[in-house]
Amino acid sequence: MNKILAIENKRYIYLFPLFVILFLLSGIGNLFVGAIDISVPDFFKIITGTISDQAPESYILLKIRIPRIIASLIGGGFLAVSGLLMQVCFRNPIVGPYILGISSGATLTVGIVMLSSFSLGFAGISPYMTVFASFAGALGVMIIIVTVASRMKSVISLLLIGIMMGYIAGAITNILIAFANKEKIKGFILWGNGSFSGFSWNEIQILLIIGFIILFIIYLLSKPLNAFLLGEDYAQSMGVNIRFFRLLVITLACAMASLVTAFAGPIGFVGMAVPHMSRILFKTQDNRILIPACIVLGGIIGSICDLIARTAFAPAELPLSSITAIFGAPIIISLLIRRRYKL
Amino acid sequence: MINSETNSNVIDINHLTVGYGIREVLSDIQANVTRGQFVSILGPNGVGKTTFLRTLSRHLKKIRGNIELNEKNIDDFSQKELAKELAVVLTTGVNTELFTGFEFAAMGRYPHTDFIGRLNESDKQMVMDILNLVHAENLAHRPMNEMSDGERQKLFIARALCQEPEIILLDEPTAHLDLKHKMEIMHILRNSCREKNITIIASMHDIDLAARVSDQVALVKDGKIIAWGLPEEVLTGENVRELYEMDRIGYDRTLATIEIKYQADELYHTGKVFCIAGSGSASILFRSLVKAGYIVSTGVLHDNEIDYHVASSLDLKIACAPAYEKITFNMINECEDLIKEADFVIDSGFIARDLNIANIELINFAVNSGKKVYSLRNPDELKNFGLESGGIIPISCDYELLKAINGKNNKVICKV
Repeated sequence: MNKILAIENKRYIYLFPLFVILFLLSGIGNLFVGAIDISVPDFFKIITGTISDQAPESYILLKIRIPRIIASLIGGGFLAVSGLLMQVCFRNPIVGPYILGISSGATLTVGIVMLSSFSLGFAGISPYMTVFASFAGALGVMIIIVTVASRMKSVISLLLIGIMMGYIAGAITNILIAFANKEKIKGFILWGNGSFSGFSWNEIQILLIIGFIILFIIYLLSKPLNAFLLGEDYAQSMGVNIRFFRLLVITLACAMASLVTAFAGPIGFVGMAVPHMSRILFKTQDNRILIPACIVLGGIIGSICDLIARTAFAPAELPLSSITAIFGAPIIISLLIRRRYKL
Repeated sequence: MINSETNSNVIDINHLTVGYGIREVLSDIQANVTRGQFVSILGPNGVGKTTFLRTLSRHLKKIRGNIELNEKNIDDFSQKELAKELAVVLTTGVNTELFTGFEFAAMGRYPHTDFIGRLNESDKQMVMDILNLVHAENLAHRPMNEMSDGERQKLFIARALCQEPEIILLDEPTAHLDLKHKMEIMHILRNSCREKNITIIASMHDIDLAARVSDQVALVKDGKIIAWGLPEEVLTGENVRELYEMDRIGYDRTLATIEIKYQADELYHTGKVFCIAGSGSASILFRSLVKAGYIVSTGVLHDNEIDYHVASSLDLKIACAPAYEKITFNMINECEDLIKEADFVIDSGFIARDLNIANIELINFAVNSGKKVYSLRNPDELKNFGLESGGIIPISCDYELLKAINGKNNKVICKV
């Protein structure tokens, strides 16, 4: 029996604790770095209530920094899981939430709200308005993709439809930009770069509760997801109901991405790059391991990128998508060049 | 192992028509398959073998008719129930580069494991046993991106076996494989039929291999199955020629081999040879001479010997004698006429005994009619037969002969 056990890939036994520690460290590191220094003793004073809620340090830590850290850890993880599901389902290595048009859909609806005269009736744009618009846009694209998915035979055509949707949404957004006034455009472009800032505790709650419900369902699907690696024909021959399963996976992946995009705006590369990083580090394609791995690695990448974005040129904040791209693209390129791992 | 179930039909196919929507590819298929049999589906590319298999595995909707597995309509199985009855080995690529051999084979346990696919000890033991069965125990630790096509194919079969099915459908299981793996795969499949009583249906291209492993063969052509039965019955030279519409192919039922007829014609050839042959001494020579472009005739051969089977599947001109009968004067005359036409004559060094001793006379005749005679016979033996070396060129073995004649006689002779 020992001989058989030895065959199984057990890297995750030491890799998971390691990455969970890194995950926590990247979160804790974020706590103490920022425009206003908060020392470790101060931290405990704030937590225990020794420093009053009204003090600026206390406000910054509890109302700004901690929600932001949680958002970046969870958001990065969720985007990575969404990307993983899409890569498995479409059997395509370059798929991610960004490419399927979900982000573009969100950008379009937010653009309509922020740029068009539609918003004139409001005195300024409430942050909830953009969240709502963004979710509606992502959901709209998702519903179209899922509807088409139930009729499509080929996953490749489905992928192309997603990409086309992205183009259409992008084109309309550009038209809106052409007619909008300059001040609005700046706000819109900042939103379009994505950011984990400005999360309220309510939003964090929504993100956590809905996100983990979806995540739980996704984990239950890891067995058929593994069968999908052999292609739809083999999966079917092993007892998977292909049409239903494909629909379910796309729905869940889109929901996960929509959730994050609604609150944080479009964030690129995490969804596409982190699943590949997980496969390489854990040397496995077993989705039962990759799903938690994507959560942890996605969280690490998300919070580190967020840290860089807000501290590198502080007080100016860098666009988050730029940071993830600057990190993500070289990873993909080096993977392709080394070629040990076939994308 | 022999019980009442052993010989029951595992698949019944009734008036089955398969195809895509309104385009019928194969119509009105009628067949049944007994448990534990190996069935080969033969036919040219694009004739519908894969379509047929995909319909049996329910990847493709049938157009009409009925398929029953163990007397139950295939449409009444749930996807999971079907997975326990039927496994497939396809030609499509898989995206499992980082899987080890063990992990990949273990995917076959899918219909038997719990909802997140955990393997228990007996599952693991079974996967290892099956890897041993397919001679892939050395692949258990290795990732699939480091494996050859043959090694991967073994794992595909191991995966199918791990599913514990009653039936395995394989689409061209030996395509792209080297000889070693081809033979190994066929051996593994044949063993699975015997030891595990699994029924195998495989589309194949190697007729000679199919004849050797199959219990049943089906020949597919022109939108239907033109024959389904024992290979011994169905695989005749004529059926094979018709199946592939190839006049240049000679299939010999006795040897179950394919020969290529190069059809050296009267206008374009390297020379005419008469080969005095017998008892298998000239089979290799025939093939080589035909390949080199010679028009070969031979005699006198008894119609039960191997030289005769090879010569006839190569379409040689043969002066032939009925089995176990003495060679008659007429036959010798026929050979003498052929010798006169030949550019040179080969004595294959056949064993000459009572029934074919007359063939020795032909050597003499050839020498006397001034033909160049190459002999693969031991010079002492020639002396014993009273044939002195005058005019006879002794050659030690068949390939030496080929070197000798190719050196001197490689010009194309054109008769106008």
